[in-house]
Amino acid sequence: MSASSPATHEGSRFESLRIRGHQGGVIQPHRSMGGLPWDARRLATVAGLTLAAVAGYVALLPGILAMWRWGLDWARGRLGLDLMLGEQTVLLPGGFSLRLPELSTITPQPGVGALLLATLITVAALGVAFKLPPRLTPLRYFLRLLAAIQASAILFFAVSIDPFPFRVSDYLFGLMSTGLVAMGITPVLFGLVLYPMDLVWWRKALVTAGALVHFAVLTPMLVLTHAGLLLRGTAVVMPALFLGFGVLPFAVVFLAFYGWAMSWPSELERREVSAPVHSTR
Amino acid sequence: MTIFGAILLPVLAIVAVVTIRHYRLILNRLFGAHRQPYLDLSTATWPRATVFIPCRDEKQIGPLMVALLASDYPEGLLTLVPIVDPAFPAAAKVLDDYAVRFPGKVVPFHRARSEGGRGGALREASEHAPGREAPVHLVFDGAYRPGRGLIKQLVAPFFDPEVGGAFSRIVPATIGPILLPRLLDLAGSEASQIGQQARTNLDQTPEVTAPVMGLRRAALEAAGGWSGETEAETLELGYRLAAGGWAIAYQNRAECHEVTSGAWAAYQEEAGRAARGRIQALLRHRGRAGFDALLRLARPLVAVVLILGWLVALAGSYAGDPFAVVSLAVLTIVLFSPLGSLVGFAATAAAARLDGHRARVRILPFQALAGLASTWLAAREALAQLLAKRRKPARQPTRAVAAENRVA
Repeated sequence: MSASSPATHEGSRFESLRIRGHQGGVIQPHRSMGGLPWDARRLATVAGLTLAAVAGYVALLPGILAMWRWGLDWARGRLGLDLMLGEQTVLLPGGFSLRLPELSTITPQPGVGALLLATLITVAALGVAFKLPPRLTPLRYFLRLLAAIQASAILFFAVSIDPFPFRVSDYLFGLMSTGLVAMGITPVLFGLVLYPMDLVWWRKALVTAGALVHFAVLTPMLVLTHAGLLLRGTAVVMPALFLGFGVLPFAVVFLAFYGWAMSWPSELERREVSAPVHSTR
Repeated sequence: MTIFGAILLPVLAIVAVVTIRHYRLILNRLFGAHRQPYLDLSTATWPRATVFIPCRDEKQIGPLMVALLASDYPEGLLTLVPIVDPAFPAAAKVLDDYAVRFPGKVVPFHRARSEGGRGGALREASEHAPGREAPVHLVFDGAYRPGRGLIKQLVAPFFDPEVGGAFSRIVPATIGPILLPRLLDLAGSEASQIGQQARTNLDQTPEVTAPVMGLRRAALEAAGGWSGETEAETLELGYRLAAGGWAIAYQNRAECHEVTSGAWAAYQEEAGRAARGRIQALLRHRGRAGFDALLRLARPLVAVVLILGWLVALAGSYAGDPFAVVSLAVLTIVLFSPLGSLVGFAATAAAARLDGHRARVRILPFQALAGLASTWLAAREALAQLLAKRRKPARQPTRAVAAENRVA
């Protein structure tokens, strides 16, 4: 019997009708049982999208870096930041190299006044953390963590006889590198936790592009913001800046895009097919 | 390798192990074959069952009794035994009233003194209360609202002679616009849909974390009965049953609603109790439990290791160690992640999608802030429990919690 025979057509129609319920809606299996379909096509989509996104990122990298270079050059004068713009070559595995823009400046060391001011602000932040209402408990913990990091920096500058091991130039270069790494691993992480999900492929590609563009714009702005804060706040604010507002924004932005994508309708919903129930044993 | 590297490598290895194991659970739940035994058994020669209800709050007990009395379990085979605490006369009055209205079906058990927390109450009732001779014991704490068919769903697994305990999925009863109930809802989805179900699929022993469960009386007796010396009595009993060779059945299809206060103080109290209970169970079962069980019980200790590792990485960064700087960045992200797993967020999002609550996933970034609070709480309570020689169960809510619960 051929695939398009009337009997097969009837069977397929029957299959599509038997999952219909109230007002023609699709009856889904109970939420405790539903799973996701897994086939060779999905595996190919996961691998293909990951490779394509990584390849696209690598191909666009020179353009991204050129944009950053231009943006940093344009903004540093207008923001009144005493920064010199240069380039640093980073050697990569496989004989490749990358020329990254580098902002350099003298690292402002905190004096007694700066340390006292930092101590006052830290104590105030800690006080606020303890005074916040219970409904803001997560913020309380975050403020306490920031206060603890800042206290460690104040302690270091107050008692350490060794010089602070990080220069502002190195810090800004490290932050920029963090942005590049975040962009590089985003497609890989999406490949592990988003691409296997039941979303149409172009949505996955779209959210990946969105996240990468967001990081591409965020990174130089974050670098400039941190540069301004470090030049005014001295090196004593560097640890809190790095941990509280350097690493975390990348993680939170990634989560925001991921959460947004995971809230989109599934491919099964779009095609009006019920979710598979994997065999029980 | 520097001293910082030598310390931080094992910490990062622990994070990697936790993350890989968690990722395996996600993939299993999404794409693996499910084990859902004992489903939809509605006609059978049902055994006699007794429901033990430890409850102190007169406002909670009414709705729970109404829900249990509406159960579709065959008439005459179900006995409800509310455990009346002498310190809470208002609840006792409500329960005595139910006993008058439903003679023979509601049989309150009046305790002479309140000792040993919930575990102590259950031990006393399961040994002395009327209805104790029933082959199946069930437990419902006051904050839970079982549906009409839940008793049957919890009793059904006991037709399998190897099953010693059974428990259901816990679902929040109400989720308003407040952040905490929404976060707890996501965490609950993750725990049930991914954690418990995937472990069931993989033939690992699921963990009974909520005081809603069914027990075969013979298994309970063989395991030594309820313990009043732990703050996570169902969890600890579950491990004892498993050690005795009894199977624990997780019924993902069976759902029991839970009334949560939505107050952070109450959550902190509960999370602290759970962390202490895990450490108590770990200390008791460390010689018998398998690697998987040990890793799960040691979850609060993982939080301790994470925080200590983070402090070492911070010190290493001040010393200019490049490996410590990278480790510090990674561990900072892990501190904000649920369960010390880098894929904790993915598990949460996948579970919410399976539940059909796609839009709820959008608050995922806020889970990071709550993750920091959870990590700190778990570490603090684990250390406190380890340092305390003997800690009695603290069932009485603190004044702060009670006040906030009233506000909520």
